[in-house]
Amino acid sequence: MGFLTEGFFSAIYLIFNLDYMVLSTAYTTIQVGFISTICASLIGLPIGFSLATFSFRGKKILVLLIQTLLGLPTVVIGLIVYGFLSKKGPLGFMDLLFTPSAIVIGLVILATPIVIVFSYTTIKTVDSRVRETAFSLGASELKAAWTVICEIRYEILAVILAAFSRVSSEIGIALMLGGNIKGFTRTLTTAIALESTKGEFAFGIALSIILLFIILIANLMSFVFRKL
Amino acid sequence: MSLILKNIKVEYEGFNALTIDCLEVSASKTIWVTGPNGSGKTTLLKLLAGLITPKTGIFTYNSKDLVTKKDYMEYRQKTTLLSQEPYLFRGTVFKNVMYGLNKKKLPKKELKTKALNAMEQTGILNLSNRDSKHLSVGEKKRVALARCIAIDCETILLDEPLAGLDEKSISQITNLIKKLSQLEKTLIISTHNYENTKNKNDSCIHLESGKIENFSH
Amino acid sequence: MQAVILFLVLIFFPISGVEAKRLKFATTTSIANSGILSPLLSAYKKKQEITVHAIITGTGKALELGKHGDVDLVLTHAPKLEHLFIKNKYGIDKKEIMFNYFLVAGPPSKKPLLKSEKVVDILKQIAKKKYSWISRGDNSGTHVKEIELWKNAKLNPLGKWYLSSGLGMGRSLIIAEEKNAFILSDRGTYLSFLHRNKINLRIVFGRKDKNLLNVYSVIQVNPIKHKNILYNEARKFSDFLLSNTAQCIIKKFKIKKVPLFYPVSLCTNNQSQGK
Repeated sequence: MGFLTEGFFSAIYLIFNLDYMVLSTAYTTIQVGFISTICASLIGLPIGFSLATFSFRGKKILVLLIQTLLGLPTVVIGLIVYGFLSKKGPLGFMDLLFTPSAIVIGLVILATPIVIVFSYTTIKTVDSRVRETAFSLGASELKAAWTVICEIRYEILAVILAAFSRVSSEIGIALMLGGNIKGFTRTLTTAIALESTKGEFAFGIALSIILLFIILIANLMSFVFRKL
Repeated sequence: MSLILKNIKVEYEGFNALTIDCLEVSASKTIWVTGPNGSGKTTLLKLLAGLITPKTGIFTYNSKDLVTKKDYMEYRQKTTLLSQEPYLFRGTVFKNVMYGLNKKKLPKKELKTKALNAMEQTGILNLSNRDSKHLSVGEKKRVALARCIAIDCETILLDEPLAGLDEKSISQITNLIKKLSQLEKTLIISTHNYENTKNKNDSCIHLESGKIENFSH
Repeated sequence: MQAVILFLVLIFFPISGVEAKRLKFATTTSIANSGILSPLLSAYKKKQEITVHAIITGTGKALELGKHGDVDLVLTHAPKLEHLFIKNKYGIDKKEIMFNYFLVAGPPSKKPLLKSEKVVDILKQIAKKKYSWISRGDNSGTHVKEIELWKNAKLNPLGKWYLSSGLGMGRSLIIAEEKNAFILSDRGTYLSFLHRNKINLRIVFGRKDKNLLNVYSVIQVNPIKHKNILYNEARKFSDFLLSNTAQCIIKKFKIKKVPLFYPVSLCTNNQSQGK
C-alpha cells in the first residue's frame, strides 16, 4: 500500500504546484487524445451510420473487417504506422515520426473502428420510426440522417467519450510513434512507463491519478451537455 | 394533382405485402381505406406517402413517373403521413411542430405563426412548452397531427387517426378531419370505423390480404 | 462559447505549426535514467538554437532507428553491436565520450562471498553455491557483457538459481532486490536506485576491472544512406560531447558525491563557472 498512498499525495502536490513536466505531459495527453477522437468520430460516425441505415453489396464483409480491426493490438498498429512514417518508408519525407502528429495518426487508426462499431450498434437500435417520420415531414436524406443522430445524441456522445478514454489510456502507439520525448511527445501513459523503469512507482501512481482525473472530467462534461 | 399506381408489388422480407393492378387517386378527395388487420392498409399509406418504394410497378405523380431517390424526395414535399403510433422528436411540443417548417424559405415569424395555427386547430396550444416524452397517447397524436398540418401539404395521409383515443379526442379529431376536407386537401385515411364521418362524395378502398377488393368512388 | 473556441485554439495551434528543424538522437533508458542527459542538453541549448530531441528506447531499437535514418545520431554503450552498425555503414564517426565499470551487486543479508581481485572468482562462487542470479536476458549491452563474463569463467549458468528477466536494468534490479539475488548492473542505474532508496543491494564487486569496462559512444548516422539526416548539426553535437564543457559536466556529475561516469578527456577548469 506504501507507494499507492505516497502516489496519491504526490499527485495532489504536483497538481497544486503546477509542476511543469506534469502539466506538459497532461497537455500532450489531452491534445493528442482530443484531436484523434474528433478525427476518428468525423470518419467513423458517417461510416457507422451508413452501415446501419443502408444496404449495399459486400456490407457483411465490411462489418466483419471492421470488427476484426477492433481487436488489433496497439503495438501492431504502432509497428505498421512506423513502417509508413519511418525515413525508410513511403511517407518518410513528411518527417512526421516522433511528433504528436504521428501519435494522432496511430490513435485515429485505433479509435475509428471503435467509433464505427459502437455507433453502428447504437444507430441500429434507434427507433426505425425516426427516419421515416423525418421523411414524412419532407426531410432530405441529409436532414433525416442529422435528425437520427440528434435523437440519439447522448448515446453518440457516450461513443465519442469511450473513444477518448481508449486513446487517452493508450501507450504502445504513443511510445512507438512519439518517442517519449520530454516536453514534446511524452504523454501521461508513456511518462508512467518511463517512471516505472526508474522504479519511481509513487510518481507513476501520481500520473495515473491525473490521467484518471482527465478522463473523469471528460465524462462529467457529458453531464453538462445534457443540461444545456 | 393525380396519382396513378400501376402493377405495383410491395415486398417485406420476401413476402408480398401489397399488390395493386391499377389505382387512380384524384385531387381534393377524401379516400377511406378499410380492411382487416394485416391487409396492407399501412403499407398502402406508406407507399402513397412516398416512404416505401415498390419492388415492381410504376408510381406516377402528375404525369411524371417516380424513379430516382430525388423524385421520391420531391414527391414527399407534397405529402405527409400521420402514423398510427407517431414518433415525437426529442424536445418540446413546439419544436416538434416546427420540424417540417424549418426548411421553408420564409421569415421566422411567419413560420412560427403557421406552427401556432396548427397547434390551435388541434387544441394543443397549452402544451407548447411541454416535453414531448411526457404526453398521453391522445396528446401525442394531436401533436403529430399539428406537425403534419403545419407544413400545409396538398395530400395528408392518416393511419388510423382515431385508434386509442378517448371520446373527447375522437370528436375533436373527427371535426378537424372534416375541416381539412373542406380546405380542398386530398385526405387518405385508414380506419376501422368511418360510418359516421363518411360523405357521399368520399371514396373507399377495401383491402383484403394485400389486394384491393373494392374501390367505390 | 468563447471558452470552447479558446480551448480548440490551444489544442490545435501547436500541432498545426510547421515542425521546426530539430536534431533527433536515440539513446538507451539506462543513460537517460542516470540523469546525465539533462545537464548536457541544457548546456548545449546555451550554445545552439536547434532543438534537440532525445528518443529513449532499448539499445537494439536505438540502433535500428539509426539504421532506418529516423534519428541523426545514436548514443549507446554496446561495443559489439556498435561495431556491426559501423561495419554495415549505417553509422560513421564513432566517438567514445565517457565510461564507467559494471559492478556486481547482491543482497546485504547473504553470507559474504570471499573477496577477490577478479570478477570471475565472484561468479564462480555464486554458481557453485547456486545463489540466485538475475540476468537481463535481452541482448542489451549489459547482457552481452554478462555472457562474456560467464564465458571467461568457463561456466555455463543453468538452473533454477539463474533467472532471466527480459526487462530493463531498473526493473531487473528491483527483481534482484525482491528475490535476494545477485546481478550485474551498470553503475549509473545502480547508484541512482540506491540513492533513491529503491534497493538495498550492496556492491559485491566494484573494482575497475578492465573486464567490466562499459564505454559510452556517440555515432553519427551515415548521411549517404539517408537523405535529410542533419549531418552538420549531428557533427556539432557529437563534437560538443567531447568538448571541455561537456566532459567537465560528465566529470562533475555525481549522485550523493559519488561520480557515475568518467570522461574520456581531462576536464580543464579554466572557465569562469560558478559551480
